[in-house]
Amino acid sequence: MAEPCLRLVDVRRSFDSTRAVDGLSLAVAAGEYVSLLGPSGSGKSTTLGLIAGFLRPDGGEIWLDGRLLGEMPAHRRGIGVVFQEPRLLPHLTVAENVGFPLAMRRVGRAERDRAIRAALAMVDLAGLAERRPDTLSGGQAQRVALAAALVFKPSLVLLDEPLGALDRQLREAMQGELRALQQRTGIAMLHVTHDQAEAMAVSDRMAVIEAGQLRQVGTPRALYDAPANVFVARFLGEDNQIPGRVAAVEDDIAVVRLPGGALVEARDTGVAVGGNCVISVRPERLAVAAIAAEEMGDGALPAVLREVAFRGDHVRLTLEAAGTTVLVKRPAIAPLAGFVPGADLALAWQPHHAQALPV
Amino acid sequence: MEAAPGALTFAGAMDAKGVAPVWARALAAAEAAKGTSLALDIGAVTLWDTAGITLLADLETLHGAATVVGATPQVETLLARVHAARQVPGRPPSPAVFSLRALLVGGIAAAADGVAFLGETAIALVMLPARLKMFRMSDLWRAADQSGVKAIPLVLLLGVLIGLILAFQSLIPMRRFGADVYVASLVAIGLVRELGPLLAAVILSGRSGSAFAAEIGTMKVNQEVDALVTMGLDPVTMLVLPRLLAAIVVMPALTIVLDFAGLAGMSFVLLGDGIPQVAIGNQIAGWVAAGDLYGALAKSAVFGAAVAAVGCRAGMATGLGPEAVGVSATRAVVGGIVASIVLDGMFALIFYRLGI
Repeated sequence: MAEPCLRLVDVRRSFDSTRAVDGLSLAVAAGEYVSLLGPSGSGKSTTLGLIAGFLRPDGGEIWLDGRLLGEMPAHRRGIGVVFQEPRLLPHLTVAENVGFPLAMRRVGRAERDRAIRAALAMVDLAGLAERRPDTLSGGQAQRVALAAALVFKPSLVLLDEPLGALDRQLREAMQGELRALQQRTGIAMLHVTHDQAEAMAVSDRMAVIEAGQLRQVGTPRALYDAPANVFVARFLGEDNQIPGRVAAVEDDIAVVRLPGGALVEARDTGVAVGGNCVISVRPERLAVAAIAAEEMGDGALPAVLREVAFRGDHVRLTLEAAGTTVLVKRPAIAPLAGFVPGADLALAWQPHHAQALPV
Repeated sequence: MEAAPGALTFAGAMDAKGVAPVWARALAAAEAAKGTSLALDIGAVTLWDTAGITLLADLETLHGAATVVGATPQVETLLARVHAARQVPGRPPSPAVFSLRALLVGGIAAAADGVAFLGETAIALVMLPARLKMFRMSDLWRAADQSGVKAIPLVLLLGVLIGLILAFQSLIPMRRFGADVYVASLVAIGLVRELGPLLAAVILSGRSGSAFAAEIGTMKVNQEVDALVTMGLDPVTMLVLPRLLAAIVVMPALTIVLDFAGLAGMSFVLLGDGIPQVAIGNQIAGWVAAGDLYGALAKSAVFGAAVAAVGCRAGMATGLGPEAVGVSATRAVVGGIVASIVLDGMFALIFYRLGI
């Protein structure tokens, strides 16, 4: 395999007694868009600071393009960084701000002007080159910051919640632009965010981090459809988690006994027979029908409907089954006959749509 | 209870009376079936209490992979509860304990950080000619205005008050010995040599050391310092040096202002006591040498550097989150005052050795 653009090997960093980053290993391939996703305080910004060179790791190695970064100061690493707030120098014009990294690298004027024009065109701001930063809107200023991070053609750009300060509509538009820009330039990007929708929208792969440790790395679809643990299942999207005990494991299917005594099946993720587990299944993967559970077939559970909520594009059904509350999402166009609160329903899922996760 | 290979069948009452006789046998059977499959058939049980459930849970735990057959939902629920209750929660985190080792390690780490910061500042000073573009004179003037000019009213007020208090407090015992007139030299020497620089340092620490820490700390929290670093700008040259130089320049001036204010306050008390202006002037001129003042001014410049360095360092070391700025500001004030007093002690020793 080709040398990845960025490689973290068992990186550790503590603040006082808290382990902010605890043995993190991650590789970002050249030209890949990876997002580092986690709740606040999970160590994602610390990881970014370690890569950028603002912080020194307590242990582990950080490699960039086959070079060990070690003690190299931040501005020699050749990494572009975009912060949550656009950090522009107020006394310089947009063009001068974008060209600042080149000026610091003593690039000639002609070449610098060409690079500035190209970078500004890339973020669609060619017309604003002579404006001052305080006359720009938040989205424009952030695009200038992005251009300044791209102008010196770094092999890696770090984005620290780059869209966090923008309003929702602008944020969604910028997500698409970021993705398109990254594909056009082919520069590897590492995007730190706590917003799972943003991470799914932009990234090739997502790395979910909690308490300074990676919980799962994979494509957005793999993480959503096959979470490897309870944390990832709960953190990404909505999830039903039904506790039970593993009765048997056959091939890759675990047979789980629920509190009511019913036996259901789910994909095995390495649970122990006889141990407690949680069945994780997405609300849109559940089938419900206003019939008796026995009529629905094997693995169907009796359920009682508690609440029906209309949400425009879908209908949310809150059910009580197997001793817990279960959420079901149905497309709004599906018929709702017989779905009144208090009704007895049958609930079922395909075994490969559910995961039996160890607890 | 019936024990067959691969199965334990229970029937009848599983209450305390019913399970007591079979308890040991059941456990032995489960122990023997370890490694093979074991079904616990409870379909024919008619009565349950917690003793029966506990036995069932024990058997499951002992065997490790036993399956319960024929359980009603109620039994399942009870069984799950027993298992849950047995899961010993992890030890709660021990309360913070004061340990000499932690104190020592923390102290050494803090000292090392301080030395590293001194080194960084020294490098920034040496490199200043090459980085002159990063050093903004306007920042120096602003810091000097903030910590010097704007501090003068406070320095005047405190100086006068300290002079008043010192003169008044020493006048009472001195008068008993008829030594009223020596109060002037006593207070003058105390003020010029020690209290002037020290009080000016305390004022600088409270007004400006904390402000330096808060300004730099806020920039740090807002990632502005990180942004400077990525641009290749040196935050020590841009943020620390102007404040450091400003403090070094304004401290001797503040000390002189404080000295004069203190002498004025003292004169006020002594004049009220009936000691003539000429006598006060003669006392001061006779006892306070120019060398005392110069030494004190040199001292005050060093105090200024220490207070500014401690403040800027606290700002640069600010952690994450908005409350971290407050912590840094507090640290700057305490550190600045402590550093000044420690340095004052060292100066006293040096001056004594040198015979100044």
